[in-house]
Amino acid sequence: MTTRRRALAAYLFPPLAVAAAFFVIPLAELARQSFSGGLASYARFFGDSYYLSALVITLGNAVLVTMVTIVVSYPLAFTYWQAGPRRRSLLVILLLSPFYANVVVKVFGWMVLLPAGLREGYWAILLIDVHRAMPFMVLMLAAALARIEPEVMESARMCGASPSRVIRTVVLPLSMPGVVGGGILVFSLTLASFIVPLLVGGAVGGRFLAVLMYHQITIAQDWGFGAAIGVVLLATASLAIAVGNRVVRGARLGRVMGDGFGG
Amino acid sequence: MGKALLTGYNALAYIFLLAPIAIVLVFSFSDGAGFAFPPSGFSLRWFRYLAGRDEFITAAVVSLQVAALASIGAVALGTPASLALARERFRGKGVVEAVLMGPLVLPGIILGIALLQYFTAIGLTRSFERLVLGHLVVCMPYAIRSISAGLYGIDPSLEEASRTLGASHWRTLRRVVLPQLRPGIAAAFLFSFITSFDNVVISIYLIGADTVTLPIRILNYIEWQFDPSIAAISTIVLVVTIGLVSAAEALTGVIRKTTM
Repeated sequence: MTTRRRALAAYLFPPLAVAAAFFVIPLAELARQSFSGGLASYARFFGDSYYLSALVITLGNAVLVTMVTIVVSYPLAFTYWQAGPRRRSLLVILLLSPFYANVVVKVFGWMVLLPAGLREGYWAILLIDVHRAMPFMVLMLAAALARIEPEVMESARMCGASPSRVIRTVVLPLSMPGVVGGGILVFSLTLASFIVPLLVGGAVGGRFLAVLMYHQITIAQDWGFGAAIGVVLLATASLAIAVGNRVVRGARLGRVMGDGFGG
Repeated sequence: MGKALLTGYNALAYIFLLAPIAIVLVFSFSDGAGFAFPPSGFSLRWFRYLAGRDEFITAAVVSLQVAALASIGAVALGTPASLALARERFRGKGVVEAVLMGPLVLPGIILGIALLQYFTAIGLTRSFERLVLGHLVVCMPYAIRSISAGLYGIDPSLEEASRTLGASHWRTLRRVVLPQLRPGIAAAFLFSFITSFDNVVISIYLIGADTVTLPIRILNYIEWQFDPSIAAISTIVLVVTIGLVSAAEALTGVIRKTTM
């Protein structure tokens, strides 16, 4: 037993030391740096309408991208779920190719595809953010759909429900955990979206928090303020994840039982 | 009717998903200097052009070196971490897991800026070391995930049998566990390599004037110039990434296991 204890310590010490040195401590230092002038950095951020509107733009974009991505991805996830194993392995390759393509390569591809007038500005950001998020969302939704037991749908059908009614009252509510789970993932991913607004955002791109933070560090060289923007970004993302997790838990028990079986 | 509509929508959506990648591949083999569609002819001139551009060659070398070192480190540290997390129960396991897997959920730009400030504060000035250490931290969770998936696929009763027969803990590890774990470790290396090779948001904070990774070099180039040489270098990046993913997939089927 003691060998086992000793082995455990030997296994865990090196990776934990590296994670502490290059993940935990730097993050703690970042937080500390953001308070280096007391609350001055935060007062500057929340007291200036320029930065507040940047927060609103970043949040608004993340919400919009998440909603659009859910709507445009759902039919793909549905088809994936209904497909046989051979079809599925083709679809997964089609989904994973854009998933694994480097973000710079994807943005460059869109710059070539889009007509000159659309190449820069908010619509380009929205389009490319949705494009980036779709494979994640389809796979998350497909995973949630795969957990629906066929018997549930079968019994709805046997009770005389039409196919569209089965989708509306059984499939949709039961896939809610996937919608919320994928939504959280896409939301936090998009909140930190950086390369897309940097390359195609034009003037509005500079108002995204991640870009603003980058410019504070590289151009203004105001590290305390850059750190504060980072902390605001991180706090917003964490809050969204915490809220989303609560919703998922609620959705699983409340909504699903109510709609799936009652209707 | 509804079914035809769904099929049509799917076709359009997959065209949308693949179009920006396809266009890059097409123009990397064009013989023109612009992006007029369709390209006027087939040529390898942009690949030849790249071969003569030192800034892309050196960036590719930096990217490959950083990815190799970070992946070796991630596997060396991730293997014992996975053995502890997948096989043992101990107090504080939740915290250990959160610390080790944390970089997976943290937005990369936040870790990038945190590391930049931290490295500067502790006096680590060389960009190459900064890049290797930064990438190591983000690669480790991917390595742990792949190796743990491999461990869950190994029957623990073999280890028990080995120990019952009198083999020591270390001997069991060396003779029973590690040989079976080889595909998982190989996949861990490949996924770490892709993660590092692909990284933009941490690298952008850690690069130096003469130590630039390939994605950042492409990014800087796009800001000033717009010609098919970028399509050619992008094609090379795509081929490397897709090749590594396919190799990892062939080894373990990790994608199917972890994303579905």
